[in-house]
Amino acid sequence: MKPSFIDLVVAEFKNFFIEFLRRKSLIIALVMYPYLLTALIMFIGTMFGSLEYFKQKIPADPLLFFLASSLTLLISLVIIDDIGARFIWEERMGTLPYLMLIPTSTAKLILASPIPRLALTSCWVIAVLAPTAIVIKGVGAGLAVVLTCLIATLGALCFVGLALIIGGLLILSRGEWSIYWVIRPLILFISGIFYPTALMPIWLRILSMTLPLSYAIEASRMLIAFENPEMRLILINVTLMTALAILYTPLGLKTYAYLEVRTKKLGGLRI
Amino acid sequence: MAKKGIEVRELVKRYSTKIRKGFLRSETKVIEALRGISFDVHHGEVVGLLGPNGAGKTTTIKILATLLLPDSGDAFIEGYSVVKEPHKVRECIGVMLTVEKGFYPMLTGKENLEYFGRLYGLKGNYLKKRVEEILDLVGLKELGAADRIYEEYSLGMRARLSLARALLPNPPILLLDEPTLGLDPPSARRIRELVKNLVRKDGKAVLYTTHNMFEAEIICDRILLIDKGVIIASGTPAELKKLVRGFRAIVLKLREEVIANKLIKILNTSGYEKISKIKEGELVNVKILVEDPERELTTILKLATSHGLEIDYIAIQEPSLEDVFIELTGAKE
Ligand SMILES: Nc1ncnc2c1ncn2[C@@H]1O[C@H](COP(=O)(O)OP(=O)(O)O)[C@@H](O)[C@H]1O
Ligand SMILES: [Mg+2]
Repeated sequence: MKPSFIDLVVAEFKNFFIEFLRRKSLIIALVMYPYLLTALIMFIGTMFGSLEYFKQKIPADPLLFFLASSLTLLISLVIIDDIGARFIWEERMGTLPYLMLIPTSTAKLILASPIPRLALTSCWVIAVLAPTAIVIKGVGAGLAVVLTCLIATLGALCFVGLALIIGGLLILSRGEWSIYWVIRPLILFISGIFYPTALMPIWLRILSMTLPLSYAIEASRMLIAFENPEMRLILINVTLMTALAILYTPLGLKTYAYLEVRTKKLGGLRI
Repeated sequence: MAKKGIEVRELVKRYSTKIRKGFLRSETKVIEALRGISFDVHHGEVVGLLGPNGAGKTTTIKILATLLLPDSGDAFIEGYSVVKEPHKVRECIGVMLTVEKGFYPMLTGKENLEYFGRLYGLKGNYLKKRVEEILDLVGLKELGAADRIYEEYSLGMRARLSLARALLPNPPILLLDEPTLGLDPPSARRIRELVKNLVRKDGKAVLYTTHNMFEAEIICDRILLIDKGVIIASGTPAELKKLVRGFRAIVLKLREEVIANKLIKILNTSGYEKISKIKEGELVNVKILVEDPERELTTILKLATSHGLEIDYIAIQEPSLEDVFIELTGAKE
């Protein structure tokens, strides 16, 4: 019997929540996550230049700027990790071959797998950060946070294609998992999470334009950090991001399928 | 109409691997894991793939399970090609790989099965009922393990759960890779009995790999002897034993390996060829295949005592599958 995509999502939901509720460290991590990340990003951000310099270049409140960054980071990490790092965990547990044995494409399951955590994280981030924003900047800012979260979630979904390619490379590379811990921060840096792309050298900026995540970050910052966000610019960013996703997702699926076949030819899948 | 069951045709698989020659230097070496094996498994039979470690058993199972692609050749499961129609193949098979892992450690046995059941498109009440039924079947319920987390499972429980998952979607074909390796006797027995029942009652086709000759003899309807990627003989256990018909075994038990080696050397120089050595606890068994053991026994004893070798125990046995294997491969251990 072939499972539908909904069946896969339901399975992932149950699996995720059982594990989540059973591991206390996971609950604590989730609660602390937004606070810790905001602090970290502010720290890294200020390391690269003084707040004064920042204010000259970017007409936004640094605090809100970093808040927007951490929010987008939180949500996009879910996708990178649930798709990329998932392969690492599943291989260690020995479950990966069994996931590849289900009577549907593995890629479909991988696409379903980040949905539960994405949903939970988005809701939690809204619950934590919206009140913070309201306290600092008022109701308008709170609303902006909610909208930003939605954009970030969309941005995270747009990341699926690239994450699939990373996942495929991870199974092909047979034990070279440490590549992942290099790729991950690199992607995050290039997309301007830690440091605005506007302040980067031109070649890095061009590279960042190929990442859907960059547009999500850009859009969410405009929304949250500026007094009167220009809706037209935000819309352009969201459109560009979606366009890239439409290009990348089928490409990611194809590339993943190719990499899976390569792995099976080389005998790389470890059991 | 395509053939049912498992049909394997001329499978070849090579792995290239690096031989480390030091800190940085390495050499690429090609290992021929399968050198063109062919066989069939029909519905209603358990076929054993019997061979020592490294013979190519797991490689065969992986190819049939679509987890590995052959370099050449093909195999068909219920008529579907493992190379060209892997999705169709996966709908027909239940697979058991290494028994010690393969589940989510923080989930209970039942929750693990429900998760995998959903991935097979089972849902709602049917899924719940099926999971209960299977947990009962493999004996995890009577062990009180169904609602304990997987992390705490013994190897025997893990193997049972693994078989349970393979059976969950009720597939017509089972591919079991050393399912009883390292298990406690009751778990191993339960798994063998279950497999036998599934074949008799439901007419499943089962490919069962093992390196345990005793196990192969009791569970398999037919046995394929595999060594270094080649099937060297096949047939029912009785047919295989006919390959060494006319021969019976003299078994000598000795205290020390040195003595055993000395004895083997002496026997070799006296013209005995079919000799093997197997460790059994403290003792070392030396087995000699001969046509007329009653007569040869005195000769052998004379040889041993004249060299001052002490023998603890002597027996004459019918040949076993092991003897067939040794006869065919010329392996000494
Ligand atoms: N992924 C791999 N890369 C390189 N060599 C392998 C790989 N998998 C298996 N082999 C080699 O192929 C041969 C057959 O292995 P395998 O099928 O696992 O044997 P068995 O299951 O009968 O013990 C062995 O020599 C083994 O070392
Ligand atoms: Mg093996």
